[in-house]
Amino acid sequence: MTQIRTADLTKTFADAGGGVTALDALTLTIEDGEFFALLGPSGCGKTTLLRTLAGLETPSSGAVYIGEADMTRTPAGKRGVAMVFQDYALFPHMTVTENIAYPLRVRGVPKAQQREAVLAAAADLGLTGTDTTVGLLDRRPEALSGGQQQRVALARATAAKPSVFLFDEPLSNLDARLRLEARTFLKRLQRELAVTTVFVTHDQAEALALADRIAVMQSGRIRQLGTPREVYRRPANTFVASFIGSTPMNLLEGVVRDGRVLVADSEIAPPDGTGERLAERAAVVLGARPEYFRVSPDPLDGAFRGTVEVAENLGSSLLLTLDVSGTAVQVVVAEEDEPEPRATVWALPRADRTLLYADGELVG
Amino acid sequence: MARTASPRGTDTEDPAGLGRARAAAISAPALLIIAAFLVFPALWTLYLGTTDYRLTGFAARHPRGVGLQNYTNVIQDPDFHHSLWLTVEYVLFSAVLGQALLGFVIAWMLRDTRGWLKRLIEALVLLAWILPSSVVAFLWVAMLDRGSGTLNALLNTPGTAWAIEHPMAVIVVFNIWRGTAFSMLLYSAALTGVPPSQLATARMFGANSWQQLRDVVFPHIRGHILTNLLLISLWTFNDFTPYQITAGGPDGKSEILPVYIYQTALFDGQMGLGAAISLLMLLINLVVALVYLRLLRERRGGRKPERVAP
Ligand SMILES: Nc1ncnc2c1ncn2[C@@H]1O[C@H](COP(=O)(O)OP(=O)(O)OP(=O)(O)O)[C@@H](O)[C@H]1O
Ligand SMILES: [Mg+2]
Repeated sequence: MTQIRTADLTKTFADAGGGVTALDALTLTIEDGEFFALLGPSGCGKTTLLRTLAGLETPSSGAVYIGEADMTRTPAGKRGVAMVFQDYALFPHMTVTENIAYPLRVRGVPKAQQREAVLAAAADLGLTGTDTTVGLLDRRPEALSGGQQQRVALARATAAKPSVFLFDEPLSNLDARLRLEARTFLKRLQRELAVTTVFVTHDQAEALALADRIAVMQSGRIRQLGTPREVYRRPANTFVASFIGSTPMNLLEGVVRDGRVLVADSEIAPPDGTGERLAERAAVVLGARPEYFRVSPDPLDGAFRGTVEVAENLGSSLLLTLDVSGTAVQVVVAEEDEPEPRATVWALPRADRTLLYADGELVG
Repeated sequence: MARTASPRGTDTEDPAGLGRARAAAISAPALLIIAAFLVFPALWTLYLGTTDYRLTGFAARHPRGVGLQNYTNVIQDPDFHHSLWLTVEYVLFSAVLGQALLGFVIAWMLRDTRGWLKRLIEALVLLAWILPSSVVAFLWVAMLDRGSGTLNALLNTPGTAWAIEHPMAVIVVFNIWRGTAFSMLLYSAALTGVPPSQLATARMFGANSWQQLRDVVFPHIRGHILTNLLLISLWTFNDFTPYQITAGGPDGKSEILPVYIYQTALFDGQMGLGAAISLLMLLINLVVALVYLRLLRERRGGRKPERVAP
C-alpha cells in the first residue's frame, strides 16, 4: 500500500526579491497504484512538488507521507521512490547494463543478482536484442536515440523496485510520433507494475490520455483535481477551462437576462439545468468548446451568427474562427462541411456542454 | 553534431587574406621576441651544460668544453639525489595531496553555498594566490619567527623556530596555503558542469557522498583533475618561492631542485653544472607532462564503443 499524502506543503525559494513561493499550502492525496498527473503551465511548481516528494528539496513547511510514514525529513535515498528526470540523467560513462544495475550496485546487491535484475528490467522495456533487433545493453547512452535513452532510464527506475515512480516530463524530449508510442508504452508499464506513479507534464493531451486523475496547478496551488473526464467536461474555473483541450475553449463574456445568456449580440440558451438559478444581469463568462457546436449555413435559433474568418485544417476536421459582431468564436466542423471563405454561418453551442463562469469559478 | 564546413572552405591557406609577406611582417616582432628571450636562452643553457663555465675565475673567461662530464657528475652527486627526492616530496605533499585535495574539498563544500560566505572564502583563498611572492614570503617569515612570530603567540610555543625545526613541513604548508586557490577555482568551475539531475539520481538511489563522487562527479571532471594536477605539479616542481622562507636550509634540508640549481650556479658559481641540472629538470618536467597528457588522451580515445546506427 503506497498512498502519497501531502499536508499544507509549502516551499519557498529564497531569492533576491524576497522569495518565490513554488508550492503554496498544497494538500493532496494520491491513491495506491494510481497514475496521477500534475499538469500546469511552466513555473507553476510541478517539478518542485515532485522533487519535494522525492526528498531532493526540503519543504519550508508542511508534511509528506508516503505509505503510512511521515517522510518529510527522510533523505532521498530512503524513501523508496524512483524519479526519472526530463533529461533522463543516464550516467554517460556507464554502459546501459551498468546504468540499469546502478540502484542495485549502490545497495550492495551481489553481482549475479544484479545481472538477473538488469536482464528482467531490460526485457520488460524492450532493450534486449531479438532476432531482428540489436541488443542495447553494451552501448553507452551517447549511442542511443532519445526514445531508447528514455527506456533505459525507465528500466533503471524499475530495477530499483520502488514503491513510487516520479516522472518529470519524461516524454517531452521525444518527437511527436515517438511520444505517442512512448505514451502507450508508459501506460502499459504502469498498469503491469501497478506502482503509484506521479507524472509531471505541461501537455494537457498527455495528462488526459495517461492519468487516472489530474491535478491542474497554477502558481503553486491546485486549481482542480479530478479524473480526465471531469477536468475536460467541467473545468472548475476559467484557468483550467483555458488550459485543457487541444483547441482552447471559447470563453465569452456576457450577461444573463430573462434566463438567457447575452454574448456577442447573441442570445444563447444557458447550460442545461441552470436557467432559473442565475441572477439577472450578472456578469458571466460562457464557456463552449469548439467541438461542441452545431454549425449550419441556415439560420438556427439561439445560435451565434458570424462570418468565417479563418479555416484551419486539423486533418479530419476544420477549426473555423468566426467573427460574431467583433468577437472571435472558434468552432470545429467536419471536413466535408467546409464553408466558403467569408460565408455567413450559424453556430449553435450544445446546451448540455456549455458552461457558465462567474468571477472565474464554475457556476453552471 | 555534424561538422560544419568552413564558410570559406576554398582559401583555408590564407583565411585572413593578407598574403605571405604581410603576414610574415606582422608576426616577425613577436617571433623575434620569442627567439631572443626564449629560444636563445634555452639553447645557451644547452651549450653551457657541456662546459665548465663559472661565474668568476679563469673558467669564466675561457670556458672549456667538457662533454657530458657535468651530467655524469650530477647524476652521481648524492646532493642531487637528496634534492630530487625533496622535490618529489614537495610536489606530492604540497601540490598533489595538498592543493588539489584541499582545493577540491573547498569547491565541493561550497558548491551549493551562495552569498557572502562563498564570496568571503573565495576572496580569502584568492588573496593568498594573487599577492606577490616576496610579500607572501615576508608574511610567512614574520608569522614563523622564533622570537616574535604570530604562530608561536597563537600556539603558545615561545621560542620554537619552525622554519629550522621543520623546514620541509613549513614549505609544504606554505605552498598549500598559497596555491589552493587555483585548484579550488578550477574545480568550482568543473563542478558546475556536473549535471544536477545525475547527482540527484544517484542520491535518490541511495548513493552516499563517496559513491556520488565516485560514480557521478569524478567521471565528469576527470579531465579537469588531470589538467589541474599537471599544471600544479609543474608549477610546484619549478617553484623557487620556498627559498625566500628557508633559503634551502638548514643544512640543505629544504633544498628542492630550483634552490639547488640556484645554489650551484649562482652561489657556488658553477654555471656549467647548473645548466646541466636545469636540463635534467626540464626532462623530468617533460616526462611528467607526457604521463598526464597520455592519461588525458586515454579518456578521449579510450573505452568508447563504436557508434551503431539505431
Ligand atoms: N532552486 C530554485 N531556486 C529558486 N527558485 C526556484 C528553484 N527551483 C524552482 N524555482 C522557482 O519555483 C517556481 C516553480 O518552479 P518549477 O521548476 O517547480 O516549475 P515547473 O512547474 O516544473 O515548470 P516547468 O514546466 O517549466 O518545468 C518557479 O518560479 C521557479 O523559478
Ligand atoms: Mg519542471
